[in-house]
Amino acid sequence: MLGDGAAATNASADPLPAAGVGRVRAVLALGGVPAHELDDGVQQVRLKLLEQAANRHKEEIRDPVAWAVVVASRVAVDWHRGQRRDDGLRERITASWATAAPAPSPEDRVLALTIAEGMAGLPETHRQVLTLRFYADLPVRDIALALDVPEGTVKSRLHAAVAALRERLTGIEVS
Amino acid sequence: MTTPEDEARAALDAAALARVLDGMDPESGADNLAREAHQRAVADVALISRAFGVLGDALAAPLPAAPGAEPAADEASAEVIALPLWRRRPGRTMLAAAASIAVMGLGATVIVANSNDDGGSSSATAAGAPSPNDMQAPAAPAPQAQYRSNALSATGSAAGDSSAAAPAAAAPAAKSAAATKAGSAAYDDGTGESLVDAVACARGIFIGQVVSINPASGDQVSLTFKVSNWLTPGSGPSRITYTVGDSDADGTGGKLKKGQERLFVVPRSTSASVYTFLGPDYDAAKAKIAKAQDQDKNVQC
Repeated sequence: MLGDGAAATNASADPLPAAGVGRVRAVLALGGVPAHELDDGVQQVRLKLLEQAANRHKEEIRDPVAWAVVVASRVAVDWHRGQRRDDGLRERITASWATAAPAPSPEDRVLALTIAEGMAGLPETHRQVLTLRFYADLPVRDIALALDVPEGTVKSRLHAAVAALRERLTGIEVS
Repeated sequence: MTTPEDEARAALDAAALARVLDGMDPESGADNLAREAHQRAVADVALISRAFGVLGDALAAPLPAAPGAEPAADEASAEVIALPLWRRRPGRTMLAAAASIAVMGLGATVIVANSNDDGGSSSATAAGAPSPNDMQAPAAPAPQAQYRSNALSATGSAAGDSSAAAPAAAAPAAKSAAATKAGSAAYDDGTGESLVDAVACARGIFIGQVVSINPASGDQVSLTFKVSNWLTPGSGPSRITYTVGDSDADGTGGKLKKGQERLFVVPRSTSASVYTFLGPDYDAAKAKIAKAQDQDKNVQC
């Protein structure tokens, strides 16, 4: 049975809860999908949700947003298989801050851009686990289940990715 | 030139990071160096979590149309109310080497602040064992930013359940008679900040449940919320902690209790109280906030 947030049971409703659209966009972007592809990515996630809802043999979704976030991370990885990674993450973030008022504090901007730069140098699968862990807040066990990979694989990717990002943090003084 | 001491420290740091990512505490009997390494790892993981929160905020919002760019995305009704982004107020801990970095777009050299306490991924991880087809709401390690506000209090009854059940599955807190006030501001301590001001510069507006209340420094308390629906920003962590004034300390009235579910407006000002609205139907509260938003055009944050 769908959870509370799943108004998607209504056939005329958007299968992706409105509150999840932003999260899906963010996960796609963090995965390197370029801005002009984000709408397509969101649509792909919607289709997956519809397919899931239509398949009576599959378990129903209790939390469509969390489910959609995982699907989005997969879409981002798949996107990279045939296309070049988008390296404009930094520019997009900066543009977003320029138009969204008030922007984050300067400290948070530095921090976020530092991490964004670090993300750019990571393999897609590492970006994926980072996003699911730190943006979607999924525990390692759940990421492993969602991606259908061993927990050890998720851990090794996560450890390597965090270690790489941590290198970027060296040199930043916090107060 | 790498010295043996550097290598030893790097090894300690790597081991500590692995433990933190696995949700483990320092080894029992760990020496001071190992404990320090663990603290560094916790702090770094907290920083990364915080960065992802900021990145997510920026990337979740559709970009405005720009020359050569695609039109802004279909955000549909993703945000109930468009309001200012939250602000993170970091704690005070020294991390990593003393240096600073200049970042494009800022045009200045800045220092990054960090939260120091229990920022590890494990400490904030909540329930939820989603399978690909049966996913619970995202659990926990929220950016460990600490937020400051003045006295926070509210009327209403306590549910008393601080379990980490996923928001989607969380039962509404018991409301008893308070439910009759649904949609009305439950409390304003009269510190002078109007709802318009509070909304205009809000660090966070969300529907959530009080998960824990812990003493902080001075007259402050640390409140952790399980957020079931972010209104401002449109998305955010499922769990977040704010440091706020202890309402008992200044005699401003009632006090939030663990398990209570409300719509919360956390103003920017440290001298203002947090607004709370009773549910379960928050439409009236959202309308009130939307109205406040219409009036906040001239508010300088």
